[in-house]
Amino acid sequence: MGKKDRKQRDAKSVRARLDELLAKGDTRGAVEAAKLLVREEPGPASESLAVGAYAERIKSLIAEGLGREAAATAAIVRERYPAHLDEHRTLLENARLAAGDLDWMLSELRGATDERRASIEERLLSWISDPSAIARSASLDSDDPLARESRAVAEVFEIVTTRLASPEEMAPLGDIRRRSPLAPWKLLLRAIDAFHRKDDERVASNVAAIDRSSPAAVAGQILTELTTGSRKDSRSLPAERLIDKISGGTATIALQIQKIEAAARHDDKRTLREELRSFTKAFDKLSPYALDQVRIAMLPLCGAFFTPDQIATMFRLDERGDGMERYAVLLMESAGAPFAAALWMAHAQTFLEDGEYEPWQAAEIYLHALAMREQDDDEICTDPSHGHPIMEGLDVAAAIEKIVALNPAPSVLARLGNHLDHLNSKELRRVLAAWRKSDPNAHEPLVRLLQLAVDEGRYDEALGLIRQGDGLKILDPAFAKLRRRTLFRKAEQLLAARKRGEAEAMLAQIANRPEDLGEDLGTYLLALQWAAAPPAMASQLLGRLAERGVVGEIVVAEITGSLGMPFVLPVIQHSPNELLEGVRRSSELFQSIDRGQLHSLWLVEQTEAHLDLANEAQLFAIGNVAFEGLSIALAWKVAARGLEVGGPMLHRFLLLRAELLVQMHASTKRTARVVEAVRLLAERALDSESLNRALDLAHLYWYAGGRDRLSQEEIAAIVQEERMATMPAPPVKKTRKKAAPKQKAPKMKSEKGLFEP
Amino acid sequence: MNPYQLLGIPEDSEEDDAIRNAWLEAVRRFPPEKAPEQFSRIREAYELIRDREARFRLRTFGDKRLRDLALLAGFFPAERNHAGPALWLAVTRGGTR
Repeated sequence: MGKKDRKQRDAKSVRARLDELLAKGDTRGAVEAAKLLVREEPGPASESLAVGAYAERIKSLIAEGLGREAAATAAIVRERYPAHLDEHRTLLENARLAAGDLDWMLSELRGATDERRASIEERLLSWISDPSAIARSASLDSDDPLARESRAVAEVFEIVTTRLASPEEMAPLGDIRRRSPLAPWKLLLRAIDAFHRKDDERVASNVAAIDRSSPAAVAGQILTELTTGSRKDSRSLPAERLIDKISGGTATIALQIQKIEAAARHDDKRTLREELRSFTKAFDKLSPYALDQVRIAMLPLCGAFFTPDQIATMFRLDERGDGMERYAVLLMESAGAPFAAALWMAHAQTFLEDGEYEPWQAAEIYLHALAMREQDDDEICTDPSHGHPIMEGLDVAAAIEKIVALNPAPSVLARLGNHLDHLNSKELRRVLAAWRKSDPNAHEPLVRLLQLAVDEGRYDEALGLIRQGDGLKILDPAFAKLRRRTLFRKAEQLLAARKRGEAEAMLAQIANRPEDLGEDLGTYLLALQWAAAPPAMASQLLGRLAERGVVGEIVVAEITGSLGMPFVLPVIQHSPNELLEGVRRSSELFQSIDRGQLHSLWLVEQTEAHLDLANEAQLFAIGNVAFEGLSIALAWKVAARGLEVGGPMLHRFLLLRAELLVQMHASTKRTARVVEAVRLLAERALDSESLNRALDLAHLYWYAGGRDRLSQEEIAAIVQEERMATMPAPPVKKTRKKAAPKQKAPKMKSEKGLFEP
Repeated sequence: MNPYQLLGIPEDSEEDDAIRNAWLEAVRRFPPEKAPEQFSRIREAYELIRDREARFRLRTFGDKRLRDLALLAGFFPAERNHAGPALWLAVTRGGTR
């Protein structure tokens, strides 16, 4: 094969390669191949192919915004291939324009006809990337409309990108012609101004009107991204910089979080994993505080996809300080892992011992560990078998004691309140004592200690605490109630022990605070005073008691019953309404001092004939007293009547029925269904007291399948069935509580007081 | 919401008084009767960092509200800073690259 043949074959393969490169969009490679072709096979055909390759290269450079490079390439074409200039004249001119060389075109505007001006300006529209370049151009007469417009645009551009512009400063834009090549810039400037004024609607309308072929449209796209949160697949570097500057460097992060949120919402694990990984690369842009918050917030999601080591790397966690371990425990907590609370305790203890934490910081961590129980209880627990694995291994009492020791500041101790409910009385007593030692003036521990003493019947201790509380001027209503309860119960106790003088002193103390007593508590006081009174005064006091109607009778029945005295008041026939209301009021009175009502049941049972006249509150009071006094038949009828009334206390009557079913050992399935219906109704009525009681009962019957959520129809059916149900026979030999003996109205024997001979 | 940013104080502020003063200043600028929304945000921010215990809790356990990712995205408020003409021109001159 000759040299010429070989050259021809090489040129053929170069041509094929050139076509291939152009098809792939590799214009730089195509130009190199074309140069080779011209060298190997000089001639018009090769030159034509080379110019074609250069033309594609110039177009590509212009599109990439590399105007100067395009202009330089165009200059090479002009110099090397002058024969092909006409063929690519427009492209070569565009390369100059892309490089910002507008003068040669602007100079053509001098003396141009309207038609020619329109044509030139139309072409300029696509190449004005900096209006100030036109304003500065010497090729335009200073009074040329385009020169005037460019000066106005350049001036306003400077202002709107630097600060909020006044309406006067924006006004010159109004003079720009609709068909001016600067019209898109006018719209852009108005959009930028609207953007800084947070008028996104105006941003959108102005951006939408920008001619897409103007460079101003690229800037308009940025505004769209910033206002709508949308994002182009790939942004130019200047666009990234601009967006970062405007958004304070966080727009991208917000966008990434939105993507993560969307992926998590759609359970798109693959995207989520990728987005999380890519998101951590943006950490550099965050302030230390923001970075920490973002890491903590992202932890639960990351925990689902990455190993702790991977998270540590992604989060760039420093092994020094509390970082690594803190995040590890946070991860356990967010996953609801068993022993998470105990892990916090161990973390605090270790870092306290190492001197990384101060005592008050460790106390905060202990408080957090305690609070995790409440996080776990956010949803009302309806599953009786549900435990608190997250709290496993946590000694609540020990944690509280440590908190008291580490930071006895009143503001910290005041946050212990809810946690104390989880302690037994011994632990509670110990913790409260420590609290009082740390903060002797704190009201809460004193009130809680008082509650403990009263609940356990230690009235002498309670009296001591009341004196201390009075010294601290405690205004808490709970304290006032406990004081009342203590003084009344102690007085009754002293009377039962025949300690008249002390009882009288106690009653005098109660009488000294008339503001603590309502009318009915006053009746109770009067009855106790009568019981303690010397013979000379007893008759007079009894006369006053007789005037107190049904409440007076019930109170006297209770006191004479508990002190082993005969009932002394004449039995009067009251109207049904007096009887029902009197029972309601006395029930309320005894509840206010947490005293049972076992000796006046014979009076309460007189209401049985009038239940159809009772309102809900009266029915409820009768039901309670009857249930407490084990007057089961009456309680059963009250519950049935309450269910028939079907008012806002319906769930309470159903609860009474549930309690009766439990008491009577009724079928477990029936009881469990009634309890579940109570739970749902109480939940709906937002009655936490009834709800808690229903949950307690549900724990007893969890095995009976009462956990299935009942439909509205099923609840209505249960209510209807219970309303109509007859009382089952009482169980044989299964009495859990000795029933109070059936009481009959005692006969009046004397008007003498307790101490009368 | 970055409480430090909202109150215009450095993130390493540890002086209760300085934080309180910043809060009072913000309240003066956004009184509840004129700007209830901003006032409420300022108040929330102050509660998060008002004393050393609150700050320690915030830094140790995080702002619980941000566990909701939708709220976390809002943690980075879309600021609208003026960027100056040069960055805008870099975009209009930059073409598609």
